[in-house]
Amino acid sequence: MRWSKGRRLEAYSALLFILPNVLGFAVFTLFPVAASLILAFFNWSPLQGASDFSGTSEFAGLANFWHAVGFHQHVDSSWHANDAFFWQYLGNTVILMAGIPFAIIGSLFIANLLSRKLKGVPLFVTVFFLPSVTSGVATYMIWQILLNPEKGLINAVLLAMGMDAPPQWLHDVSWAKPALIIMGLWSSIGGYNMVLYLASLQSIPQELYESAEIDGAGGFAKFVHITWPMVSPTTFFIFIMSLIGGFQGGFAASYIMTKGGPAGSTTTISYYIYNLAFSNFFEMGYASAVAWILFLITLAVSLINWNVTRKRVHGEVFV
Amino acid sequence: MAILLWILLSADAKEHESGPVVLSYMMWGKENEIREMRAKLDEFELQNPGVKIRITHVTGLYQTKLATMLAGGIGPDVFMLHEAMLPALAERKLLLGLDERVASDPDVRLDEFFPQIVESCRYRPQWSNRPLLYRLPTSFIATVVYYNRDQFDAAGVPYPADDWTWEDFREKARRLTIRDAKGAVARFGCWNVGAWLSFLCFMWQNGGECFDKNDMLVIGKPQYLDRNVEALQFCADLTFVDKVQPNVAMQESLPHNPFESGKTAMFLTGTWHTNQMKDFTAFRWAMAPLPGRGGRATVITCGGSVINNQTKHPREAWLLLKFFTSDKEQQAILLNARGLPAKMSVARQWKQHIQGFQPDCRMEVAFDSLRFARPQPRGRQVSPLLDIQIANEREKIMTGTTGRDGIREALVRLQQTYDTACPYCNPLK
Repeated sequence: MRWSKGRRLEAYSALLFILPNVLGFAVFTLFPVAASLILAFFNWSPLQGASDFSGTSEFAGLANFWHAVGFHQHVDSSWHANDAFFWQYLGNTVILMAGIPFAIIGSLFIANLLSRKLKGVPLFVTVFFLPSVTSGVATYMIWQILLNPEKGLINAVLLAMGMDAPPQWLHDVSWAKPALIIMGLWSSIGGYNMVLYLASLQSIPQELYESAEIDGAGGFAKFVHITWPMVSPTTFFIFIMSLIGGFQGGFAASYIMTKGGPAGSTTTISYYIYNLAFSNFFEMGYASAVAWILFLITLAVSLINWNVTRKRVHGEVFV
Repeated sequence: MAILLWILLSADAKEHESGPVVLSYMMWGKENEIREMRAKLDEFELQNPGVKIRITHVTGLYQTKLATMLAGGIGPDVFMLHEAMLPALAERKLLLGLDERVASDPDVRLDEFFPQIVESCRYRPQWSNRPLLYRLPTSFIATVVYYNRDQFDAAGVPYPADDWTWEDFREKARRLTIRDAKGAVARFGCWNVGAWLSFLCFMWQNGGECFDKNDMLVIGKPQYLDRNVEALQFCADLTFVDKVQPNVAMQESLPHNPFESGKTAMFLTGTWHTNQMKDFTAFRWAMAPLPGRGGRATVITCGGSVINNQTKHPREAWLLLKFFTSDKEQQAILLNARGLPAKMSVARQWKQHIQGFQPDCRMEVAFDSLRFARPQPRGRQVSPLLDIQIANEREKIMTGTTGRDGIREALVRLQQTYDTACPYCNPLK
């Protein structure tokens, strides 16, 4: 096919317009992703110097991967993880996702309330959406103050309510994770999930409710038999995105609020990757391997989710 | 793009012409520290015509920036370096070993410096059969106790003696703690006995050990276990039994300068703190050595810049390190008191150089502490996994998670993981 001159010019200018984006993507995303895949098979630290890559870094094969997920046997024939931290932090990551069902139910509930034609709804929508547009660092710092066991508002309320020894929250190995989950709920209940649900609720045909009412359905029955199935594609979307976010998440909150502590109880896999790659040790090879393992886990969970949960979704799913 | 490249290349080429040698010096620090350093370097430039020094000032993630620069082959010629990062760089031959230069330079005599500090400037990388000198001793920081004289006087508690013991320390901390009617602490007796370095010191004082001479972990070995447990127990008890020092949660809710704000009568920290206290007039303060048990011990960290092994100007870099150890610079260290001078002759005259300080602040304590001072063990810094695990176990002890009886288990656990998974624990060694 031969293009006319004007057509070709148009194509060139189109390419020129997307060039900055593509260039940025290539330099800051595509290249690092590819590089990390290569690095995962080497023992490389930036301290060796990039130019020395071929000379001094040793090819590790699958050793980095095996170090993260493998087990070895002690002299007393008991089995131990090669890297116990990997499993502990993977556990932390999964536990911190315990808030997801609550976030889904909560945002559906609030969206339901806000979808009624009442005065002041736009104001409430704004208020509930605020956490999503507020800077993460600022909210983490405020929550850190709220959660302070000595001077924080939360414990002040608990004390006033007559509790003798309120939790030490971020300073207690067993309370730090619940504290982060509660904080996560605060921002995720009223955020994008709520907006998605609002849109979804508004697209449910009113006739369904009207005919259900004629058949004598009450509020609860209408919710269970109409609303819940009709919003199920949205629920599925939110669930799958929350899981992906959950596996990759936890870095910012931990970095700012707990530094992964106390005793590693709030270190997630992504924070671990950061520590390996950028603390005093710069173990880029191993960090890359852990990052790719995290990717594989996320991919596997998403695929399972896709195949198992999709069957329970009413109608067509996005895509 | 081509033009940009051309400009970059030609700029690079210019540096190699016969103009002045430009050394890059990388440092961290506050605004005023940069200014002080610039003034020093100006003087260096005057003394050494033909050498110019460009400061790279890093705020925030110093180590990451340094690693990135070294990776890109544009590392600074001379730079400040956190002790924790030294092993990683030395193992990879990124630091210039100074032994040969010292041997061939008649101006530098290592016996002019406190021997313990010289020792702490050395590190033995895996590839070497003897320790190598990586820093020229410039300044040092020892861990001591700062105390508030006014609060001691008001409570009628005698000042710490130089040979005081753990029991004296605890007794004083108890008497200096003030509680309100509800039992909440209004002023603590002591602070920071539970930080990693203080843990180390207390273990040493009790005859315990954390690492052996080969930097291998021995914290839970039978010959040291009882003594180590006893030491950590003492530290934790101050928080959880005597309640004379804040727990981690309380520390966070209290001011960041607890000593200056009068929130604690005794403050265990490094002698860099004198820099904060030197112009301080709200109360009278002084230093005491760490209390002892069977033995005495404190930990020292050595200051002093290092030279990039890849520098194109090793001769000029060496001149700069020497300049930092000159008598005049050593006196300046005394005066700003961020560290203490490593040169014995200057240290001996400290009284003449610290006008303006509180005259009875007992700065001699820091120098006297050198008699029983030991450098920070490097064993922790050779493996990320070990480093994380030590930090985790320490946090469990100091947040009360282990409980009083759990300290022994924590140390045994630490040792077991290390012994059984040692190849994984020690990638660098």
